[in-house]
Amino acid sequence: MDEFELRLYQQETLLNDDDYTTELRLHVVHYGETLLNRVRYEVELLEKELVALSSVFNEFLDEVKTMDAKIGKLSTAINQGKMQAAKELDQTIKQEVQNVVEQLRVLPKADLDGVEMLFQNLDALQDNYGMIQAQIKTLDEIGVKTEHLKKNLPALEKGLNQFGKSIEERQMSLLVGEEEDKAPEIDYDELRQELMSTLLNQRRAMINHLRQAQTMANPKEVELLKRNQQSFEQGFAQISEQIKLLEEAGQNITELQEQLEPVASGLRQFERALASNQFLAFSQKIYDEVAIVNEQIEEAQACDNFDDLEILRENVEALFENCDAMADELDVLADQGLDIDPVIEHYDVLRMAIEQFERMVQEAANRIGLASGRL
Amino acid sequence: MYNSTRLKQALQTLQALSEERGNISKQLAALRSRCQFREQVIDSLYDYYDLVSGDYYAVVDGLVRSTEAIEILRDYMQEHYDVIDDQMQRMRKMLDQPVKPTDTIEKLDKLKGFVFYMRPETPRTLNASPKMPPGSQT
Repeated sequence: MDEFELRLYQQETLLNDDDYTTELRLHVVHYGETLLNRVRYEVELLEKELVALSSVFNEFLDEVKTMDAKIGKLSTAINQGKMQAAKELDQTIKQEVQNVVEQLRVLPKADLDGVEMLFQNLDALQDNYGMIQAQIKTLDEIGVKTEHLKKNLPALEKGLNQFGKSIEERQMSLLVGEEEDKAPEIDYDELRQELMSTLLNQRRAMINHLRQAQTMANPKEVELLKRNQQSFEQGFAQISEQIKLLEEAGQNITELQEQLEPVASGLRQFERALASNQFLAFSQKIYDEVAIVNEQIEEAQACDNFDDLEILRENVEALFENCDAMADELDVLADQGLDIDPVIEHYDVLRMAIEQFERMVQEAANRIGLASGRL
Repeated sequence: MYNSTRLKQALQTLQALSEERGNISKQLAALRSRCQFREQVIDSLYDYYDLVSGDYYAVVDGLVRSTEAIEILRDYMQEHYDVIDDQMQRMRKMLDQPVKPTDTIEKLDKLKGFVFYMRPETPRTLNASPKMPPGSQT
């Protein structure tokens, strides 16, 4: 039936209606128009509400993005701060022990004025000790491991007690008129033993330090290792100086020098160990890729049109392909008998970052859909 | 020496920020649910509008010739005419209630039920116009 025939059919129908049928049609018009008008009104109202709600939703989304960026920055700063705080506190404790040793060294030559000054120094050192304890407590409260810091505290406490006692003895001897030649002598045997113990600790720590340099797979930790290396160098310089003092006092330092040599050798080997670390390059490659993914995530967060969205979707696939290629490379390394566990951890970071990127693209798709009136 | 107390303060700030972030997430989820509800209702109302307008124009334009068929269409429209205000008010009441994202699916089903309640049963609409010419069904 063509259009003309259809019209004829309709006209014929309406012309042939009896009165009852015409009335029925008028009823349908009345009920139908009411229903349609009512539905149209509700739809218009709901569409306006939807647009308004979408606008608020997008505002909240922007706020969330800003807040996420702040939280991310703060979180990174805090994590770095925790590491830095523990490290600096460790150095401070060691420095304080060294300060006490220095004070003990000048004590035998101090006159009464000098003793007074040393008492003031003792007060300052004791204040510092209280502050260090408070700082360790704070670090404990915020979840930083402080066991290694607490291990060094007894030595500092013992040194302070010894220093206090020695100042009192020196003051007493000066007040009762005793001569310089009766001043307390330095216990070289004890000093030698302390140095020996420190050297043994340094050797053990150096072995661990070099192992980390050879096997560590996180490029971000290289700086940390380099800082540790600096600490080792400073410690080495201080110990060498102490040994020199013993030598000047006519003490036998052969055994100490024997123990010092492996530490010196370890210090020289550090750069070589770092260069021979075959996982670092691979991890660096992974983190270069992670940096790209992070840029893509930022783009996904800012994406507001379908064209860019399409490109981002293609990028998701490309990044997953790169990630799979890296997994294949890792399999090859594993087949060669290498322990790839340290690198797997970083590979997982990449994998999770790409998955997050995929989610952000999906959120962008939802957002664009919402802004255009469809979720 | 590093100031651990400031670090602790920063950590407290981070916790406060995270808490605030969690609250905003909840509000975001609630807003999303409200948008989804409205979109679902709009879709359903569009469907309903198509159905009613199809029958309406079929009758008004003379595509339906049978008196019995027109009576059936008149009856269902009258039935809907009597209840549409009530249905729309119930729907509005439901839309205006606070939304928990966890209840989203259950609530969506209820909302659909309100709108679909008014949808005429499919066989009834088809049987209503047995003489409708081929290709003219809306």
